[in-house]
Amino acid sequence: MAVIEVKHLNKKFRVKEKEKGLKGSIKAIFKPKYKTKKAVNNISFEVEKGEVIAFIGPNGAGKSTTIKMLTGILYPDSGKINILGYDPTKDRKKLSYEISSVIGQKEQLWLHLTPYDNFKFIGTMYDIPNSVIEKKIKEYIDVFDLKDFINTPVRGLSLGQRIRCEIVAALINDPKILFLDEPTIGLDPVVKENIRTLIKRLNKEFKTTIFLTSHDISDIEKLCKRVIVVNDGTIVMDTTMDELKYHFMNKKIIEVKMSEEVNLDDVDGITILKDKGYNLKLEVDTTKKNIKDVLNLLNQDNIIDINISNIPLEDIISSIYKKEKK
Amino acid sequence: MRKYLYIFKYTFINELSYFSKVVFRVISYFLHIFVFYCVWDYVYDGTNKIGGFTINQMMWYLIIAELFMMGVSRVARERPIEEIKSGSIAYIMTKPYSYIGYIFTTYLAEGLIRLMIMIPISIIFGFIFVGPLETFQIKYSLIMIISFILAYSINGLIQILISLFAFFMEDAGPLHWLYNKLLLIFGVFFPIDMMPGVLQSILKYTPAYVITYGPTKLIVNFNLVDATYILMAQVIYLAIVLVLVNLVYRRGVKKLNVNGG
Repeated sequence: MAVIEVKHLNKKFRVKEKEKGLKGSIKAIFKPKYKTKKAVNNISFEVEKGEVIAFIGPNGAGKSTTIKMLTGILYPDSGKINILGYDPTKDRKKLSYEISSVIGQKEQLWLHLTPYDNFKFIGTMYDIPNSVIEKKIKEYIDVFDLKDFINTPVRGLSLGQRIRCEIVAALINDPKILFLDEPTIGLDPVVKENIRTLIKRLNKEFKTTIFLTSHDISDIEKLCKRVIVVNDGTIVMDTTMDELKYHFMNKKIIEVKMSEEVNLDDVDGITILKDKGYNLKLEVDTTKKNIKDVLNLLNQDNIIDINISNIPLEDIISSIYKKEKK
Repeated sequence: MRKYLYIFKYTFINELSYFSKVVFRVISYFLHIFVFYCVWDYVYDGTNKIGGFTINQMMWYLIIAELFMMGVSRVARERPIEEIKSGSIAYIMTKPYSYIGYIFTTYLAEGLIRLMIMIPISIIFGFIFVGPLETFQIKYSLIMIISFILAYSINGLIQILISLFAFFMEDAGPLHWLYNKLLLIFGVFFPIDMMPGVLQSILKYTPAYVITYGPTKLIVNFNLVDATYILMAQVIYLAIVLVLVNLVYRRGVKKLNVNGG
């Protein structure tokens, strides 16, 4: 069952333009100029219940604009959105009981209140009876390991603890869909891992549909089974994580250390990424050249060390971005 | 309603952390009053009444009107502008409560904490420097309190209304500056009765009449005719401002441009 249905969604922005210098600034006061920018251009997709989906793209691709339209913050110029049977522009308030969002850079918790008071406050905003809120908080303290700082005012928490509380706060209303916009931005690797575990757990235990945007490829790789890539306001790829990887699996990176200098030229299927005489880094398209042929070209007796790996997902995704830009 | 009581309660708890801020407000309040005390003392110089006010009434007028201005929370004036500019209004909009209701309740709760501290201090200050207010009529205090609450509410809603213009213009700050000066000059420093006739009749339609001048005048020099006029004007003002705030908010939200993350 689709919980998010988006059809032919469009959104334009009017952006003010100003010529350079003082003259330009004065001119802009009397005769302001505007440029129209297509932020979202005819986007359509569906998300099924319980999916963890990555909605990714370079900066300015239209990710956040799309999320804002899905949550009813921005009004689309045209197109249809159906979230759990609601039209977000008309039923924003009703929809707000069913969904939640965590925006990495924005604080939603009150700094001078403890996480406990914050959770209680948020629960009340969702018309949840006191006894139920208390029960939920107890459950979350155990599941998400909050007991050490549940009574510390939020301003005294570390960034990692605060983000953890932000995410837990977004769960108080038992959202059916959770929108996470850059949830791990600015966190150290250990805390990032904690947050990912938390997201995985809430998807598993509470069957929450997760709609995630992130520039951190590890977030996407570790959490999501499906990826939608947007660029310049349009969807350029909608595929499963496995397919995405498989599609690029035929490309391998070979790093070798040789005892003698090698003179290798670009041949069909082999791209030399780095050549420092004794050290080489090659990209091999295995549909055109198999690994054995490459090793023969190198003279196996002279190989001191070798490393063969897949292309990192990060490179795959940035190559998709670049391809679409061209 | 339970939601807004909670917003009120938690704002109150949150504001307690800023207790020291109130101390600085009290100091600046005393400075203002002291300067005007000296000015009016010099101006009266043996004169019995100016604009229908004795010096005792004038000083109490100043103490109460200034108390109102100092007790006003800045939340309605600052937060919507900040939140519209930064785009964070968007995330509050996805919560199941009214944004206007949220700001207004916060404004009331912050105001309550300030006034709770400042009202007793200003009364003690007035008693020491000016002596008791000779024309105070305690039997009408309920009307005075209602008028004061109405004034406080209208002021908050007008400030929210002005702040909401940030949806349409780059900076709504100068509008607040103008509005604040209107209240300060025609409602605090000089009661409307002191103005020339034509200006007086114009000023009776401005927010200064229903917010600072009206309720303060009722406390300083109560009469039933004035009270009826002032309360009626306040109710009309409240209704108009409520409609306008909702109208502008609805229009503004549709215009909201939140770019990027």
